[in-house]
Amino acid sequence: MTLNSSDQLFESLSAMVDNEASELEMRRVLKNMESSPEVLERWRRYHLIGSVMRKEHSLEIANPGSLISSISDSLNSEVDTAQRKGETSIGLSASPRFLRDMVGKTAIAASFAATLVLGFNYMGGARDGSIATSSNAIARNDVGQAPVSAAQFQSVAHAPVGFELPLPEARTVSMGAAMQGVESRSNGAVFVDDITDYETQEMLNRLLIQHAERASVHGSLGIMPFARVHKMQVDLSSK
Amino acid sequence: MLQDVLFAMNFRGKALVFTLAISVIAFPRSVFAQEPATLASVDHLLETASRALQEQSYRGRFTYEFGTTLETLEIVHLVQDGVEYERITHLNGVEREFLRGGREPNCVSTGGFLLRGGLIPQTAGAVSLSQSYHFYIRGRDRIAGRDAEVVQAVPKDEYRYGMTLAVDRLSGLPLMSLITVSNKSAIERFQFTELEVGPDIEAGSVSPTGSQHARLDGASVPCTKLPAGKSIWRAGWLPPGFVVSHITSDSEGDALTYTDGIASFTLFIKPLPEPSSFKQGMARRGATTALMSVVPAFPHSVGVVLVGEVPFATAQQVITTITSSGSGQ
Repeated sequence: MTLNSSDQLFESLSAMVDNEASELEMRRVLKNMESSPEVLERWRRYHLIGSVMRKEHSLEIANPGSLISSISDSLNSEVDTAQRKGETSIGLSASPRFLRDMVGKTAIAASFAATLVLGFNYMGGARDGSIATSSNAIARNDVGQAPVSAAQFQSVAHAPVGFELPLPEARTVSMGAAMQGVESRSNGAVFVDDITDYETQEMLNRLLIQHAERASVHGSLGIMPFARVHKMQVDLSSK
Repeated sequence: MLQDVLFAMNFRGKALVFTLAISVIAFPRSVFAQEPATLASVDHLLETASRALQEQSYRGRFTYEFGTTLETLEIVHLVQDGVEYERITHLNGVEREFLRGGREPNCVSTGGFLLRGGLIPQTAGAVSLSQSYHFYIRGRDRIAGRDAEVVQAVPKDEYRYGMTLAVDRLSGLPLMSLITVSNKSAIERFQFTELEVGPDIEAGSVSPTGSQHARLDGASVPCTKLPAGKSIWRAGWLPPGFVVSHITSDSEGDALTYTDGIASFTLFIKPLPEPSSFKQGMARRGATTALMSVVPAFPHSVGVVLVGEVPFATAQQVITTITSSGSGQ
């Protein structure tokens, strides 16, 4: 079977949805998206199909145009970075550079696909108004009780925490990296240098076991608390 | 539309294409309609998971992963003559093993009650799990060779973590749980790699396998919806949706456990005749935060340690509002 140019374009589009498109294919699709509403429409339908097949109840892309510019920016940024790295990596063999480029490209495609899939859910949730209503209700109930600012609640109302979440196959990251920019610490927090002492560690372990015992009963998902019992590792960066 | 499907599949998986085409024809609207996860199905999954953990006999191996650390554990859970027995063994590093027995399967605790859709009355109004999280069905997955339904709990505020839970379609047991923070990062994951469910678990398999084990009396933690114990201490502020589930008080100090049905934390409070001797600071492991602080009080300051699966900022806010009521709570 011979594919004509439109078929090839749509095949590239499909490969892009599957994160399997080459950089050349991605650029070709993006270029055509800018001029062809049909390509945009197919892009939307392919994701719709993929979403349904994955049993994700998400439904449409509200503004595909902004996504196009987002991908283009990512690609350009990646190319710039690769070029800069190339300038400073003289002496490296071509093979590692090729692998790096491939990894970078795959990462862009993967992150882009994730943005799309998760973005669907965000829009789906926001449209019914339940999130803003719930968050506002929480904000109203807590004013005067919780020692937090109204500005914090405002941000909660507009962007629920954790709404864009990783898929189950996501890799775990360290707490330090995960918490960056999330857990701001007040200036009044006191931390000491020698928390690593044996006595404190033993006390923490003992309390951790006690908490695990209680949490395994009262926290509902019983097996997890005991897996967490281990010598606590001190986060020195928190000082 | 069928042509779109063929392209979307990138010319792979003809059988799947056929299946999808049939689905499109048979369910042209319902499949594609924008329908958030129905509350009934989420409720069913969560209740099934909560019940299965208590009521089923099972054995298996699972991984606990956080940061760059991966640990493997073995669990045997036996229900015999209406009583739960459990052995959890860490297979990596220092020998650690927990043996627990004595809890009755029909024992429904505060967390279990909330997870099963219960409402707990509080002075500010009834508390339920839906007050704290949005829930979404995320489709199906395959874990430890078993088919699972994936449900995602998204926190409604910044005081708790999110969770993605994969529930075994056959047994109802949780096969995977992923704890997440607001910046889309996973900080902790439990995942079964092997699981055997059924009545064929031998009683001897819950016996200790080594010398380093702790025996915990499951009956010592009461499974009441509201705590029977009392304490003069209380947290002046709690994250919305959290309720106190267990209180103990003795010469060592007081311990108060709070839960929202998914997350929980415990406040350990003891008087400090010499506050300077109490180490203050913070430690973390996966989703667990431990915050140690001295809180001024009369006649003695108290040393407070909060241990639980909540963000640091939440722990800090709770600790700074600890007050004494002068009489038992």
